[in-house]
Formats: sequence, structure tokens, C-alpha cells
Amino acid sequence: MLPIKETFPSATARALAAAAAFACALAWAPVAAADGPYLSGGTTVEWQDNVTNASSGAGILGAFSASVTGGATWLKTLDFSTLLSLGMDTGAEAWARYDRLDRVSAGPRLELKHKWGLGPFAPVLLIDVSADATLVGDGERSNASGEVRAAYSQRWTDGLQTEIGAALGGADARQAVFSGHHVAADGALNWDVAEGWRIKILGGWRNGDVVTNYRAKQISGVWVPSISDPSDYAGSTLGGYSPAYPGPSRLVTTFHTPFIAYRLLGHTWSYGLGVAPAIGADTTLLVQYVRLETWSPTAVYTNDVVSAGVVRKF
Amino acid sequence: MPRIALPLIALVTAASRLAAAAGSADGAIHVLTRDAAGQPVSNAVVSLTRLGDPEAAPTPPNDPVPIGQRHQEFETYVTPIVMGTRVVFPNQDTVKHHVYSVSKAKRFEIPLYIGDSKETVLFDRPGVVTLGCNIHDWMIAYVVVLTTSHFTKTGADGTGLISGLPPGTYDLVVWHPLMTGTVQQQITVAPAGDATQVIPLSLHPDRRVRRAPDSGSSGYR
Repeated sequence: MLPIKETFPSATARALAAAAAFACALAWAPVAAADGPYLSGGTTVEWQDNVTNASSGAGILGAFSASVTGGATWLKTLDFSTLLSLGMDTGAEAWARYDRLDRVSAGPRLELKHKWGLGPFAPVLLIDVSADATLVGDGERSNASGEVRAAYSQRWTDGLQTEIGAALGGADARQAVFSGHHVAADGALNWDVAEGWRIKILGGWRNGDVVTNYRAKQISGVWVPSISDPSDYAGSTLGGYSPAYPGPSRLVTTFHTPFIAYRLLGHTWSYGLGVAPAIGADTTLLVQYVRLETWSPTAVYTNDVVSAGVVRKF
Repeated sequence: MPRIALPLIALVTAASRLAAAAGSADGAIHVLTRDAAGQPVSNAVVSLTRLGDPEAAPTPPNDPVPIGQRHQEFETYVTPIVMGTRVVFPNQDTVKHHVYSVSKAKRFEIPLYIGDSKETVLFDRPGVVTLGCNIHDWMIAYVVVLTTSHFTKTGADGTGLISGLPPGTYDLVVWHPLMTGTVQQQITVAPAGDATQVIPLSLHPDRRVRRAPDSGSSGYR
């Protein structure tokens, strides 16, 4: 019998998702008389070289995915400088090799935007509340998630803009190993180097629950990480369902062969570069590279993500 | 409109004509603008002010001049008017706009509205007024407030016409949103005959706040 360790589902994650959904519902009444809906959509193709978030060795697997997103937004101006927007976003993603990661989701989004002063160079404060739920997806990984984010945006010249933000979020899945919460900070610099051509420089930090996967093998009826060399893994507490390992874990077949998924507490640094040419006034292409480096007491891993996509507002 | 900074050549042809019916000695000036690549330049405001024997101040029109908003842009990029003209800003868009200006020649803001605005704005000082929308940062337009009734704005083909010019010496001034420096020159309009003036202008690149949507950034996976 496969011993499964599961902790109590994250109460924080439930509270955040519920608060986000409630805030959006509460805002519906005044926004119902607002301008809109304004529609937008996009599609992206992405490559991740470490979908499993494995530390090293044969557990590192790469994969392509494609996604399509759509959104509808209603706008309501509260005063000269404050704009409230309520949106509904949907998305579908499909994975070339691991169809158990395929997912269809939807959720509301509420944003309050306040500008101090007149003109494009006035500073802007943004507060976003969003929630998202899996409508179609893998039973184990399907979740409801929510996030609250505050950001400060400043345009310095016609072609240079920066934004920094901080967020608090959580997710609640059927299996505790895929639930968790996090805090994060992010920054972006948008540089319009020429008419219609934008360079994006991105950076971020995240601290919270992460999921890392290790190839598994069965020894005397117990599933353990398939460690060819103990030095492949940072720390020994991930040796099977070691009593020393406190977090939730679970045997998964998402990647076609047995893997053990572990939920860990770690911090992730991210940095990236993108090029976003404008196609007319309402369409943007984006080619982007982001590197994610995650550190935890029991696992260290990286993930290089390359994506290409298009966004259009109608 | 040129996308790079190149010298612009404005070809000004002074052609004096007699009005067939009244035998007036008034002249007319044809304005022709070209950039260094030979392409026409639109939205250049050319104004003439008579020297020596100044004319009376021009009478502004009774009706306000409209500068509408549609598809989240100002419908008219450059609007030349005489001092004392009232301007109205009808919003034919599906979203509200917050039109404003912080220019010295006229500071104002019209609170959020949609549809026809009841408020008209009096432009009672000469100069260039830059318009914007506080909601949509990429929206920009200009109002050029003049003290003379002799002016024209070049069209898409780079041409314009100033007619009804009494003979005399005039101060010719050219303004364009992208021009660097000033262009000011004296010309003489005769009762008959014609003259050609070539005036070089230099423009800086047309850089505006980006309107295309910003895509989301990659986050944790």
C-alpha cells in the first residue's frame, strides 16, 4: 500500500481564493453599469526545459505547451483619476507530451487603477484581485487559486516605463501536495526602443510552496526516488517517504513513468528578457525568455522558459 | 508623415491673382511641403502676419470648432484657430475620456464624459496647446492659436492654400508637431505675378506613448 502523506488543505489558500471571488462579485453591481465589455485574446507557444522541477539527472524533462486565452473587461470611472475594471478570463492549455497537464480554467479579475496627476508621466497605483479555477483538468492537480497584487507604475519618457509589484496568493487542489500559498515581488522595465518595438526586462522573487518531482522506483513495495547517485539530490530527506521529510508527497504518473511529487517551501528568483513588437494599434507579439531558479533546504532546481505569442484587444 | 528625422523642404509658391468678379488685388499663396525623401508632410500650419500696416485682429467664428474623439484617438491631430475661438470636444467613442491640457496658452480639463460635451473651451491666448486624455495616455492632439486670419494647414498631399492676401510684406511662420527649431521668414505678396519660396524644415522622429496592449510577464511555474 502506497503510504500517502497529506497535510490539512491550506486554509490560507481557501481564504484567498474565496476573498478574491467575493470581491469580484461585490464589484459586479456598480460595474454592471460600466463601459464594455472590451474583449481581448491571445495565444502562446511555450517550451520549458524542466517541467518536473527536478533537481538533476534523469528526472529533468522538457516539454512544449500551447495555450489560448480570452478575456472580457468592463470599465467604470470612479472619479477623474480612478478607474475600476472587472474582467472574466478564460484559458486553455495543451501539452505536447504530458496530456495530464492539459487544463481549461476561468476566473474573475478586479482591478483598481489610480493615477496621481494628469498626463502619461503621472504615477499610477494598481490593485488587482483575481481568482482562477480549473474547469477541465487532471483530477489531482485541478485547483482553485487566488491572488492579491499591488503595483506602482511610472512612465519616465514616451518610451520608458517601469512597474514594481507585490503579491500574496494561494491555491487549493484536491491533493495537498498541489496546494499552497506564496508571497512574491516583481519588477518590469518596458523600453520602446523604436516605434512599435518594445524590449521588456523582467525580474521577480517568490517565496512559498513549490512542487518538485523525482523519478520513482519501487523497493519492497515502497516507492522511493530513483537515486542513481546520492549526490544527485540535495539532501537525503527526500529518500522515499522518509519520516524525516515533513511535507506532503504523492506518487504521480503525469509524466508517463512513476514520479514522486513533493511539496516544499522554497524561494524562486526569476529574470528574463522579451521583445514585443506592436502590430498596429491593438495587437502585440511577444518573444520572451525567463529563467527561474528555485532554492529550498531539500531541492535546488532551475527552469528555462521560452515563449512566443500574440495578444490582441478587440 | 516621415518616421525619421530628415530635413523637410517646404515649397512655397506665391501666386498673386486677380479675383475675376471684383478685380481685387488680393493674392494667394500655395503651400507645398516635402521631406528630404520627397514625401509630402501633412499637419504643417503655415501662417502669414502682415508687417508695417498690421491688419485688425481677426474675428473668431460664432460656432465652436469641434475636436472629436473616436476609436480612442482625437479625430483631428492639428487644429489651427484664431484667438478667441471656442472649441468643443464631442466624444463619439464607447468609452469616457478625460480631456486636458497643461500648456501655458491654455490650461483646462474636462471631467469624464461620453457623448456631446456641454462644455466649450475658450482659447484666448496665442500659442500651441497640447491636448491629452488622462485615461488613454497615447491620445494627443494640438491646437494652434493664431493672431492672424491668414493661415492654412497642409493636407495629406502636403499642400495648402492661403488666399485673400492684400499686397504687402508678411511674416511667414511654419509650425509642425515634430519640427525642431523655428521657421520664420519675410515674404512679399504683390498685386500680380508670383514667387516661389523654398523653406527647409527639420523634424524629429514621431515617438508617442505606445497604444498596443502589453502582454503579461512570465511568473512562477
